[in-house]
Amino acid sequence: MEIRKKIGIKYCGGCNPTYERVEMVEQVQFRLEGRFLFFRHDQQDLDVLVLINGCPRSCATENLNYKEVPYRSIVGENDFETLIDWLMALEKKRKP
Amino acid sequence: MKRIVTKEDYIQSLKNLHHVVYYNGKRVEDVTEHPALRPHINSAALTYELALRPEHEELLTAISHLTGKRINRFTHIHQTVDDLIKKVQMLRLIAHETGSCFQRCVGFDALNAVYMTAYDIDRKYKTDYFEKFKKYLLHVQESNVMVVGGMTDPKGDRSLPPGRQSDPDLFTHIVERRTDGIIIRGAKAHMTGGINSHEILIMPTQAMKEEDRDYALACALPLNSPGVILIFGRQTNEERKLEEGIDIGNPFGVVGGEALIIFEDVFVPWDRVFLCGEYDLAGILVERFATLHRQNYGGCKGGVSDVLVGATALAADYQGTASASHIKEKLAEMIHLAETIYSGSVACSAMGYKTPSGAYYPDPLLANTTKHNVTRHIYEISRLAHDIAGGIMATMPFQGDLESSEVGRYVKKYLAGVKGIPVEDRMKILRLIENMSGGTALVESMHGAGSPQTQKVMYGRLGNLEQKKRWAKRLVGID
Repeated sequence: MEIRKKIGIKYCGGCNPTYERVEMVEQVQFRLEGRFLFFRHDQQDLDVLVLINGCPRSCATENLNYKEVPYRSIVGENDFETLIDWLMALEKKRKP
Repeated sequence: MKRIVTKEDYIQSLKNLHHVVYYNGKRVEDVTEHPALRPHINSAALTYELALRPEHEELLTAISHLTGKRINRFTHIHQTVDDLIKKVQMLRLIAHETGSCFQRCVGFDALNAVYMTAYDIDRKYKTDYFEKFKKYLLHVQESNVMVVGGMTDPKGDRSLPPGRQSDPDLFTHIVERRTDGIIIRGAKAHMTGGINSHEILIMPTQAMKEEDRDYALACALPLNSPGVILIFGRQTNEERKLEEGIDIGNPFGVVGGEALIIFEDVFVPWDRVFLCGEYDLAGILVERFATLHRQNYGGCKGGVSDVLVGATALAADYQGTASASHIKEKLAEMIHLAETIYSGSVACSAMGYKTPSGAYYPDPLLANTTKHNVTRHIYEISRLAHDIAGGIMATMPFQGDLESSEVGRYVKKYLAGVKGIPVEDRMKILRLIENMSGGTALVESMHGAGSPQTQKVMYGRLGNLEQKKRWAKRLVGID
């Protein structure tokens, strides 16, 4: 039985985001459907952390306590495809 | 009281309050069912709802320094400069959702101002206000109630101090000191979110002298206490709220929904009294509340302005003027003004510092400058919105005309703009601009958190003119 990797999602507060952060996460979930499981960032045993920032100030990256977990910080819409590529590569690399 | 977590909890808690509220001369039994009050309630409810969303919890919540628990930021005491900045960011984001005032910052600022000052009073007079206030704060954080900050007294004849008014109740005051508490009488005016708050935290309205000792008062009480009466303030286009649909403009109403709150011999137990006669510390309490509240305005008004800029740009899109150079220039100017007020709020927060109580406080000169800019820039932003939107925003027919079987086809024909844009969408955006840029919305940006002259007074006190003169003299060699 294949065990799907767990992605934790951490958002910045969203004071003045330059794009729709929640919609982007929904698109990521749609594109990766069946490949990963999605959780809050403070869940246990995460495999990956995705930091969703509304702008380059990257507030979600502050006070990060997940150094042992690979993570990717997103600061705009242009990061969408690179995030998908990174997650796909991660999935392939870690597949047993 | 059961902890309020969700929007539904909040609305139910207001139903349970049974406080005495009047609207246009009639008693309102359930404020949550009144169409003119509901928009303001829905706006304040977002301060609960957004705190539960992962994409906003970083700003809408904080860690209590009293308990270590995660709490709603509106009940938090600022522990760092970062807390001060996050407050401003939070206000901007909520304003993006409401396009209007969400009211809860007033109590937030009152909590912080009284916290700092209760500590200072105790140090000077060996009183026990600070410990009592921390217990009260714990109650607010645990129950997550909405507190209205009560500062502005009616003030009667402004040339006279409180004790020399023809009617002593024109400033809220202590009328009796008892073994179990005090009796107060008076009123607080323009109380934002008053009708949909659970409690009020009363503060003095101005610095006091010894003769005004009984007016030097800070205390907290539930708004359903016997003797408390709330009268809702009529706004511009008030009756629009009684309608649904396009003509209401903004479903979250105009500004906060202000009330006159009357205290007709209201009992307050000693454990809820935080300043009682220490007249020499009334002034610093007022100054701190004013600074904390003026800090906000580039946040919330910056966010509201973002929505107005967006609506104005859409109006231009819909009527085919968006590519005109003067429209682009005016939209750029609106953005410039909105970001200018926001930058002031961030700056006064970034330059904030720790008070003896441990709570952090924004730079007062910069906070006053921010609010002063708001008194001007919101008018200019609104003027530019009117300029771009055109006269149609003020002369447009009713939604009823749009939907009329007799004249609806004429409204659709003659209000059409760019091909493919529904007339209904154009009307919605124009009504939103009308709602956000005129009447009560403008007056609130002028007088909310203090009129422009109160900020000028602070410039005189904090502007350090003598040092500026020394710099000028030194530069040109004057001894």
